[in-house]
Amino acid sequence: MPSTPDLLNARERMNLLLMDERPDRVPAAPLITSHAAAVSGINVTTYCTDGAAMGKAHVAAYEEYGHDLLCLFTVVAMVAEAMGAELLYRDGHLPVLQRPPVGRDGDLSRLRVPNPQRDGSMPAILEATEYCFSRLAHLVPVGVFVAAPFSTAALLRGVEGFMEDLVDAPQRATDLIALATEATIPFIDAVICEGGLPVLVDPLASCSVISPVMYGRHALPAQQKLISHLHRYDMDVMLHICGRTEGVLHLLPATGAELISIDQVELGAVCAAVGDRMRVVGNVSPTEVMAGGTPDEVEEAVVRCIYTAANAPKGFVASTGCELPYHTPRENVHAFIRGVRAAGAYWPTARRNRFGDGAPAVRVE
Amino acid sequence: MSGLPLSWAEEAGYVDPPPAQVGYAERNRLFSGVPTSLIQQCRYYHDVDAEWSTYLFPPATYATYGSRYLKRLRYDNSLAALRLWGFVMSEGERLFRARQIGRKLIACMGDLGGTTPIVQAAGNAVAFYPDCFWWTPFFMESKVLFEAAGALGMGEECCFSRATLGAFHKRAYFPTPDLCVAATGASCDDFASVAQLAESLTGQAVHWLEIPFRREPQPWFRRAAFRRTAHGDAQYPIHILPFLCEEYARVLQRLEEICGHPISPHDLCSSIVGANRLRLTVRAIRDLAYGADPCPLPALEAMHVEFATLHGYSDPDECRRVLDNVLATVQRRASNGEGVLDRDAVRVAWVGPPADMRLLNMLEELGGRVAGTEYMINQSLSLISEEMEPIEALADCFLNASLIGSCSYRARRVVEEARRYGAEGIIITGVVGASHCVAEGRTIAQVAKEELGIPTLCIDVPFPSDVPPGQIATRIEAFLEVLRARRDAHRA
Repeated sequence: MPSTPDLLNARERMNLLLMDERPDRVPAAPLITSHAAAVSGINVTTYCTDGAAMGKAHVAAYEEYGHDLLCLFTVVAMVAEAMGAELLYRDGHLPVLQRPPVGRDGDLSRLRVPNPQRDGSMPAILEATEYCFSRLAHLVPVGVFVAAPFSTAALLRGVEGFMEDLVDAPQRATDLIALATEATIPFIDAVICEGGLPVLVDPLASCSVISPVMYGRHALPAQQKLISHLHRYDMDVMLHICGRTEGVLHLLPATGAELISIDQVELGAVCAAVGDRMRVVGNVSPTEVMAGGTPDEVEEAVVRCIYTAANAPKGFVASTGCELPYHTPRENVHAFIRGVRAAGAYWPTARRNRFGDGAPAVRVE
Repeated sequence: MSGLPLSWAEEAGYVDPPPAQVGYAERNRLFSGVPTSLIQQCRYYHDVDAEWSTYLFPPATYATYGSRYLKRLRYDNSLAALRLWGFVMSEGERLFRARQIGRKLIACMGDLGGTTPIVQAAGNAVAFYPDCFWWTPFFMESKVLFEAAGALGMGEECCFSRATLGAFHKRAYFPTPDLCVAATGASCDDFASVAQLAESLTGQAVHWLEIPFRREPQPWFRRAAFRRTAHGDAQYPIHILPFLCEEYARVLQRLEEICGHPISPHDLCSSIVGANRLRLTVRAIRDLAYGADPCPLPALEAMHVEFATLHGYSDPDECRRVLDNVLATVQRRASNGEGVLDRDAVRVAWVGPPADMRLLNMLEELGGRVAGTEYMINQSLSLISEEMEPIEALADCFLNASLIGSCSYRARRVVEEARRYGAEGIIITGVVGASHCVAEGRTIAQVAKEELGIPTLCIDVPFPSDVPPGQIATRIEAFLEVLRARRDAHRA
């Protein structure tokens, strides 16, 4: 499908969107996280532990794809690790939770409010943020994905134990979430100070894991508190919840987030439910389509998303339902961007650039 | 205590730290202590009461949205300065919001403060200066707008003002204005060229405003009659006043068409009263910032204050509140004998708005301070007569303008400013590609030497990434050494 070169760069496009303006086209923001490591030829362990390498990977990915939002992210356990959770780093794989620091007794004394400059992978993420900011922030927003407190609490306790606590010892769960919230705030302050735009990720608050009632009782208040803190900085907050979220759609605007990034939910239903209050972000399948499909299938999928959601009242960002796998074929990511450029135009062609970025729409006689 | 009334912030439980200049990280850290109630109080377009209208945010907020340069600057640590910065940095969004709430957007170009009181008299119109978007490439540390202008055929033969053409084309920095009132004639040729290209290449509606040249009275002019401006010291041939009045009347008529209602003399008078109030506040802040010892307000914040007189950063009502707050802070510091710089800082008059604002920080870090300025906006610092007929008063005031007459007039203005604030030297910042800069530096230096016996340093300001900042720092440092030596010799 032929596409028109862009008039605006990602920074200009996203800034317009955040000011409730229609940009030149739908922004294209596939969640390129550790896939950036593949682009720059490093393994995931290096990506997660070496801030400069992580930063370089995202710069390389931006140069390769020209997407509209950088997505700096290591693992959901990032805050839990900095608070004392042990992660297992295996060469070439994403780190996994090895030992949750909170046991059945609910003793929180082993936990610490992390110093973002010192604990866990936070310093690496901040270094990567600074690296990307200093090189690209004039061209593209530097999104930094931060685990929301509910997910952090689940990883501090261990997911299974935490789910039991939600039912059997709710006060203990509440206390843990409160501590996770307190621990997350200094990190997001540090991210903002480096010029990063915090994006909240709360995969364990998904309806694939908990019920809507539990979401409203435990995850929502913590999201609200963090988002309210971000609003002190005038940040437009993007909240990403993996998996299924149909059951909590009616609660999402109450989080205060301006953008909702969704995964395995019918896009039209989301637009109908919250599209007048939130910008909708989503939701090409990262595994089936992006990792496992052909470029044509990717293009078809993203164009379908655009036809469904591009006219959502508060705006739409074409994205993937979750982060791209490391080995996602590059031609598929290119196909994603190409599809958005071809089908996602808002401005009439005459106002768009026909000669490359910055060039005029004029006829040379 | 000074006996001054409690400020709005103290009533909410916030107390400023002792006056100082602080870096980006500390400025952000201080923000964490600002009560949310204060953030909620600071809003532009008060009459709308919209969620998006808050602006009291730290530099990190605006850096996150792309202003990379903010990380490199040093800031006054007061809440009033934070508010000032937030108000200045939020102007781009403010223009889009203005359009969203149905205001007419009127871009004024090239006259720097002359026509804005007419626009503001309309009530439903917002005046702004696309000219000021020449700072955007610096704030973002980005050549994107220069490249966009270059692609439209305007390259380095034009000064940094060409960024404005890129912004017109991209429509992502301000919405397409309902009208652009563009100065021509005795005006900035680069901005006039930008307006021409915006009209022809982007389809921007432009209303041309011809500015008459202000001749100086000369002994051999036998028949020309001159008069002095009502406020200010410029003299102009009397026949150019009715000419400019006619030009303003045409602007008024065009605005009435666009805004959909008549603009009465009463509306104009009210707008003039508002503009004068703002100008008086700026005048009071300048007197303290440039005159008091120790210096109670850094030069960068003082520059933002001065430029508020152009158009009140697109919301003159809120701008008045912001500046009242700055004035209260500066008055308090001055009455307490407090400041942000050393007492013996070398006093320098600064000529030309520095495109690279770091130069003002640099001067202060090296032991200097700004004592008087000439930022080419003399016309917007002068008061507007409230006795004359309003259009005539606006025209008369504009005829104080810095750049519509001879170099020697501007040189006299600089000398007057240096004398008023006791400057020991003058720094002139030129802009690469700006034609007026070439001749003026030498004339100003010569007049300053003859009249005051003080030296001048001329700097051509490059784009930040083009020249290592150390080169300019070395020149400023050497200049300050000379001034210190002269001071020591004078004392001895």
